[in-house]
Amino acid sequence: MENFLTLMTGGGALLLDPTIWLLVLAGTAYGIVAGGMPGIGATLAFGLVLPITFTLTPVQAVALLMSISVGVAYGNSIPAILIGVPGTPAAILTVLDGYSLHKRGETGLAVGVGYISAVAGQLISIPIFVLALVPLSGLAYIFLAPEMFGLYLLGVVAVVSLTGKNVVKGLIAAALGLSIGLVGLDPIQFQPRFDFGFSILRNGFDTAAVVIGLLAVSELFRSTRQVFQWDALVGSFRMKFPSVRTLLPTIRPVLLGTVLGTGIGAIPGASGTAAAMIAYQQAKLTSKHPEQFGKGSIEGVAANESAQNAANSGELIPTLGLGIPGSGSMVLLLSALTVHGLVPGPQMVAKSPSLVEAAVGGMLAASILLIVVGWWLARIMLKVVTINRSVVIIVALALVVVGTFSLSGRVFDVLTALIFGVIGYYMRRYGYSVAAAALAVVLAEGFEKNLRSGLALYDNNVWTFVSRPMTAALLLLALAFLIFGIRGERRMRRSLRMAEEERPRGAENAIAAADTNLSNRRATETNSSDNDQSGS
Amino acid sequence: MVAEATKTTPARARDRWADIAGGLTFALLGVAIAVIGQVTLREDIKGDLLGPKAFPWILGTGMFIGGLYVATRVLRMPADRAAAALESEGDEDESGVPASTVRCLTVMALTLIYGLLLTPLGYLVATPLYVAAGLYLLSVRSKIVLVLVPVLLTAFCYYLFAEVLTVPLPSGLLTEPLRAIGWAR
Repeated sequence: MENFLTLMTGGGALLLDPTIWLLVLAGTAYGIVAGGMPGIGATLAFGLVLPITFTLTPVQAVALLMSISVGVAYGNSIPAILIGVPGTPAAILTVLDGYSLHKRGETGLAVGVGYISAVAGQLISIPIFVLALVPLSGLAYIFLAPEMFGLYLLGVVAVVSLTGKNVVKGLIAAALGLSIGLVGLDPIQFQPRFDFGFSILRNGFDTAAVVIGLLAVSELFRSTRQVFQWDALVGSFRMKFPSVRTLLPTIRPVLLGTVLGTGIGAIPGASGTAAAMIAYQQAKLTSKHPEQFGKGSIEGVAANESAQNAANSGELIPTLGLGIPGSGSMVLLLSALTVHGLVPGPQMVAKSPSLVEAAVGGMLAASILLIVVGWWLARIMLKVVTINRSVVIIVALALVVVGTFSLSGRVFDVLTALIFGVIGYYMRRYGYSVAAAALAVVLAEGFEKNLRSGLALYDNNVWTFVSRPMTAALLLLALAFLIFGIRGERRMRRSLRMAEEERPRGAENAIAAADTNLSNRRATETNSSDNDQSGS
Repeated sequence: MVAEATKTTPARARDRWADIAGGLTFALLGVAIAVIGQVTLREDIKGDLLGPKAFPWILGTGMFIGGLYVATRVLRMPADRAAAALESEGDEDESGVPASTVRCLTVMALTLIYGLLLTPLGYLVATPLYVAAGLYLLSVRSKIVLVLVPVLLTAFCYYLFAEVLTVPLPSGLLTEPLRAIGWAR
C-alpha cells in the first residue's frame, strides 16, 4: 500500500511541472489526430516522434509517449462513430454500434458514451495498473505458449460471435483472415508459404494494410454506390451531451471493460484489440439486451472504449515490470528508455520508480485534458460529417492511401489495402463479416505460433498441453463462448422473427408512411443539390 | 409488406446467383489452400507435431465445407425465401437513394490506378488528379470544390507527412524541381 501511494502521489506531483503539461498537450493532440486517421495508429505515431524523445529526459519521454497512447485510444473512436471507419483495429467494434447510433441520428449519444467510457477507462485503470504492477506482472512467468494459444483461441471464438446473421459465413470469413496470415514465413520452421516465388511476399502481407483494406477501404468503396448527404439521411444534426440518466446503463460495461482491459492488456502479446473484443463479448453475454449489440448498443460502445483505453495501462505492466513489451508501441517505449541508459528488466522499476510515476503522470494529465477538451474536440471533428459526403469519402480514400504508404514506404502495401478493400466490399455485400476476417488476420500468426511451439515445448504431448490449468481454463472458456455465442445468435434471430410476425398492422402502415416521407425528402434534397452543382 | 419483402425481383435473383458464386469461390479457395499447402511445403523438423502443412489443411478444408454449404443452402431454398435471407445478411444500401455498382467499380479502378501511379507520377501530381476525378465521379460539380479540395488536401497531407511526420513521399515527375529547392534528395 505504501508503494502504491508513493507511486500515485509521485505521478500526481508531475502535474505541477509546466514542461510536462506542454509535452502532454502536444502528445495528446497528436495522438488524437493519429488515432483518428486510418493507417497511422499508436506504433507508427510512436515511431515518428521517437527521435524527439532522445532529446528529452526519460520521465518526459515516457510522459509524452503515454499521452500519445491515450490520445490514439480516444481518437480512434471518433471516425469509427462518425464515418464507420475505425482509426485503429482496436476501434473495430465501436464501428458496429457507434456508427449505427450515428446513422440513427444519435451521434451525441454515441460520441458521449465513447468519450465518458474512454476517460473513465483510462482514469480507473491507472490505480489498477499501479496496484497490479508487481503481482500481476508475475503472471507473465506462467503465460507460456500454451496459455497464449488459449488466449488467441478465445479471441478467435469471440470473432465468431461477431459473424452477424450467418454463422457459417462468419466462420468462413474468419478462416479467410487466418489464411491471409499463412502467407509469408512459417512462424516455426521459417519456410516460405504461399509466396509463389515473389520476394515481396516473403514476409507476408502487412497486417495493418490488410486490416485497413478489409475494414476502411471496403466501407469507403461501398459508400461510393450512393450519392447523398449525411444530414439528409438523419435529419437535423445535433450532438447533445447525453443526460446522466441515459448514461447509467453504461456503468456496468465500463467497469467490466476497464478491469478486463487492464488485465488482458497486461498479458504480453495481447493487445487493446483483444481486450476490447473480449470485453465486448462479455458485456453482450451479461447484458439484458444482447440483441442490440452490433446495432447501436451503448453498452457495446462503452465496453469497447473503456477496455481499449484501459489496455494502455495494462500494457505498461509487463513492459515496465518485466522489460517484456506488451505491444509494438511498448517496444518503441523501451527503445527510448535504453537510449537513456536504462536497462529493461524486472529491476527497472525498483531502481527507477520515476518511470512508473512518469507513466502515471502522463496518463493522468492526458486524461484530464480529455475531460476538458475531449468533448469539444469530438464536436469539431463532427463538423467533418456535415461536409459534403462525397468530399469526405474521396478525402478519406486519399488519406488512407498516403497513410498506408507511410507504413513502410511501399506501394505494395497501398495495393494490398486497395485489393483487400475490393474483396471486403464483396464480403460486405453478401454477408461475410469483414470484422471477423480483419480480427482473424491480426490473431493469425500468434495463434499458429503458440500452438506449435507450445506442443513442441511439451514433447508434442497434447494432453499435457491442454491440461495446464490456465490453458484448460481458457480453452473451456472459449468453448463456452462458442456455444453460448451461437445459441444466443439463434435465439436473437428467433425472437426478431417472432417480433416481426407479431407487429400490428397499424404500426406497419405508420412505418411505411415514414419511409415514404423520408425517401421523398431525400429525393427532393438530392435534386436541389444537383441543380445547385450543375448551376456553378 | 411481407409479400413485398419476399418478392423475387431481378436484382434479388442476381444476388442469389452471386451468393452461390461466392460460396463456390470460397470452396475453391479452400481446395487451393489445402492442396497447395500439401504439395509445396516440406516437413523439416521432426519435433514439430503439426508442421507448416497443418493449418493450410485445416483452414482449406473448413473453407471448402463452409463454401459448399453456403452455395447449396441457397439452391435448396425456395427463391423467395432465399431472396429475403440474402437481403438481410449483406450490408444494405440506404433506402430511397439509387445505388450504382458501375460508379463504385469505377472508383475502385480509379483508386487502384492512383496507387499504381503514385510512384511514377509522384504524390504531388497523382493526388490532386485522383481527388478531382473522384469528386467528379461522385457527382460534385462545383468548380470551386473540384479545384480547392484537391489542392488543399494535397498540400496539407504533404506538409503533415513529409514535413511534420518526416515520411518521405514519392516525388515522381517533380523529383528534379523538388531537388532544386531542397525538398527532395
